[in-house]
Amino acid sequence: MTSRSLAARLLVSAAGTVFLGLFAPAAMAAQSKSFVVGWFLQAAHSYEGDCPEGINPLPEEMFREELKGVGVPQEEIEKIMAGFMGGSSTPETRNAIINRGRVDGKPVNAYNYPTSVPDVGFHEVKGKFAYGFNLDGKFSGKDYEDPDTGEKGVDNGYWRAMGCNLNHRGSKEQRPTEWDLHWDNNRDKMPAWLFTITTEDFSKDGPVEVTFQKALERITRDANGYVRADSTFRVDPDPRWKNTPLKGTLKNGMITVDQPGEIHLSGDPYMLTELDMSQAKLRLKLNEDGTTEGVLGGYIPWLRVYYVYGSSGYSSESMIGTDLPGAWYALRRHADAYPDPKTGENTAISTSFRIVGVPAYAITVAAGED
Amino acid sequence: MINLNKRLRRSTASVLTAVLACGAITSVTMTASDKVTAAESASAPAGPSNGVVIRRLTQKQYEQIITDVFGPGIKIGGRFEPIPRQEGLLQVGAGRVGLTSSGFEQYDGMSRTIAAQVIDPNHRDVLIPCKPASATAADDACATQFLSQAGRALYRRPLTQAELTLQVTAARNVANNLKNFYSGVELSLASMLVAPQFLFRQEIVEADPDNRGQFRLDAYSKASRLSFLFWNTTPDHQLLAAAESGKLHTAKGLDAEINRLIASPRLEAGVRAYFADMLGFDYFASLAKDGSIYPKFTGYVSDDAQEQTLRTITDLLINNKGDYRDLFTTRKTFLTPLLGSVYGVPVVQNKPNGYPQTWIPVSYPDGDPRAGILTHVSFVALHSHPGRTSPTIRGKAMREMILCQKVPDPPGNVNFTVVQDTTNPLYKTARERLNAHATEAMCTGCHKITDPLGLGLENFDSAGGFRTSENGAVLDTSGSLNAATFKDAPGLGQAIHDSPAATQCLVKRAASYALGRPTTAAEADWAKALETSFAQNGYRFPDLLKRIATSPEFFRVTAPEGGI
Repeated sequence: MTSRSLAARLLVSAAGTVFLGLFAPAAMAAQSKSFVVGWFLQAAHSYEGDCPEGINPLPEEMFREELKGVGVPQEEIEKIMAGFMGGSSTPETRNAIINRGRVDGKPVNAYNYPTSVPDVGFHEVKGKFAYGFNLDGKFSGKDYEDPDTGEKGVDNGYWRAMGCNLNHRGSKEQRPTEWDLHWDNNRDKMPAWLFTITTEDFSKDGPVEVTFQKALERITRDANGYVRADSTFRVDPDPRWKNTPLKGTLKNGMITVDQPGEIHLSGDPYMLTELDMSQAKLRLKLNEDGTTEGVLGGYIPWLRVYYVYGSSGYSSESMIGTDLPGAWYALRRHADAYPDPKTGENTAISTSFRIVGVPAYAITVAAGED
Repeated sequence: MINLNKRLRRSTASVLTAVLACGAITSVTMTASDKVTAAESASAPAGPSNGVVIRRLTQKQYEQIITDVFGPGIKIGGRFEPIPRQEGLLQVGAGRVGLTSSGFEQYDGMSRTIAAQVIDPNHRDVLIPCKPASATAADDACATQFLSQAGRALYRRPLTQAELTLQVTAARNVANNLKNFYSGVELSLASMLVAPQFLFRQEIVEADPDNRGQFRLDAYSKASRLSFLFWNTTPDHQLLAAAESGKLHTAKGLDAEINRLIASPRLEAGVRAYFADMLGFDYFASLAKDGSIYPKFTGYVSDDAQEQTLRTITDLLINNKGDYRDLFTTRKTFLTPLLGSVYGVPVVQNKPNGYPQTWIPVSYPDGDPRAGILTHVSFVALHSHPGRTSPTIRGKAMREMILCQKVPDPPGNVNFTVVQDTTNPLYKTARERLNAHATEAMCTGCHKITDPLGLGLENFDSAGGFRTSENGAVLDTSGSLNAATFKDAPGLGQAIHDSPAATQCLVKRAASYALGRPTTAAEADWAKALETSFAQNGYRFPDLLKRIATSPEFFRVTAPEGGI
């Protein structure tokens, strides 16, 4: 046994609580619990009437509109769409759809050049409720109210932009298809995301710190295909992913991070290449089975969010059902923070994500041991 | 080729018929001037009356022999007909088992697969020690060289002239018919791989020239007994050479070979084979857990669990020359990250993603609830139901596997309802359910034997995970083994460590394993002497094996019933 793992073992109580010593975030002589992120999904809250202009049409209809918008004759559009069969479309149709953008009259890849097609205009989520936090401290008419906490002034431009797409509809109980697929298909090949909660005594109310960490290992799965609990992960010592602890409180088994902070984690090109979240807030419920779940909110560069979809290109459109140029326009339109100093255009969008934490061991290693 | 093949098959089948007819041939007939194997004598009586046991190769032995003879690149495939466990050991069952038609079909398929690989262009230059004068014609000299060498390793003795002539003739006929030398030796090799001389560990008895009127195992049979006991595989060239030279019939020569076998790293394979057999690891093949209750338990966990225990055993008994009894109390073991998740222990593997799981040595601190191999997943999960623990099954396993104490089967009309209902709010823990169940008089007797042991492991759920409560009720893990009482699993391990029955059982099982049959009443003094020697040597397992192998009883045979 290595001295490091022996030391780590000695710090583990029978209840699985790690008593800090080796990897304690400094001052608080306390207890900590580490988790690996088992699910990371857009925090969907769909309900009847939240999209008064209706649910966005499926991409097939939007393709027609976009092709028409760039000047493709109707006869040619019909010919192209005759070969559309989702992921099994003919090569000619696939090629025509991918390259439906026009620059100087010439076909270009619409995913790389979204403005080369006209904006189909995604419908907005105009309902009263959406998960998240009041990130800017303001109360505008467009802000939402969190359905669980009743917090008003909730900023969630991402939900506003995408929540009227069928594949984004969902709830706390029903994972939205788009994010379910992105996360589930990519979490096996991306570094696991961890977070460690530190407090004086988990059985009492008091201040907490939540530190997000990137693991060197990927997740592994259990017999049911879910993330295996109680696995060991080494925390990546790379300073790019070393996050300052988020500060909050533990009360009645609920953790609330009310002092915004930043989170930086590397992910996967087909999910979020990097999670760069500013003014992050968090609330987590500690479950009796040892897991934890809640909502993480904050601002993310909207272009990064676009590439959640854009990186999958035609697959994302034809099989999952998100029109990519439409998403690009919608995300840019609803971006609501961090204006570019030169153009004044907002570079970030408010978001909220549902996260589920599965108990794990997060072991600190020094640079060079990774 | 087809006709010839059929002829060979008939020849093989006729011998197998004799084996199958006898079911379990464990004796031989012979004349003073000729050696006759058991399988060649359809009239030989069954039973260990003269000390000879014909054992079918286990899957592990078959696989290891093919690797030893032809290299690890040869794939085997196929399924092996199971060997029934008898008297607590597969090795005893292997001496009482025949072969079914379907089992033979499997061997036949494997033999053809193996032979085809051996003669294919990728392997022939390495595995066939000569080149034929022409690849499109028979070459008796080259066929003889290859088949005699391979046959010696497979049959664990030199082929008789008749056996060799049969195989070389077959190879010649096929080669000439198909105009392919390699097809000829392929067929003959496949034939040898389904021959009873290969599939069964035959033993040959001969007159003992040093003791008129007495009999002995011939030297090659001795070599096999030694090799399978210490290495769980066919004798190597040096051991066969010692047999050929007659050295194995001398005390000095025998001692030298035993010392060589024990000093070899291959001893680990032998020790692993023994403990895998003793601990019933063959039951893992049918082990299942309810994934909705125990999602951490997968097939990989099942594999790692066995490996954990075998590593722990060989590390203590071989690497550290440790005391066998310490297996029940040791806090040293080895874990993979996967097992770490089951045990709830951080296990760091400083390897890149995708790297195979590696084994990390682990020492639990004093006071940790895990101590000894009985707290391993390989024991607590193997002896549990798919969805709940069973102190009774665990206690029975300890009594029978570790202490060699027979626990009677339950009567046929037992009502198990109370024990099986884990949702009854009146009986939240297994102890409470068993107490309720034990009010039935017919059950009380046996449960007094099993449950006080098994309840000591209740901190470990059906998949091996640690717990302190069941259905919200705090677990009472106290129990007793005879006069010794304990309060938890480490205490249980200590009680077994201190129990004379544990070491007596090991001696008894190891002797049975070596002989392929239970020791008899006539061998009681020998068993006692082995126990004494085992204790005097600090309960060192390799020393016990050596003592067994150097005992006259290990090779002792008598005249078969009916005389010569």
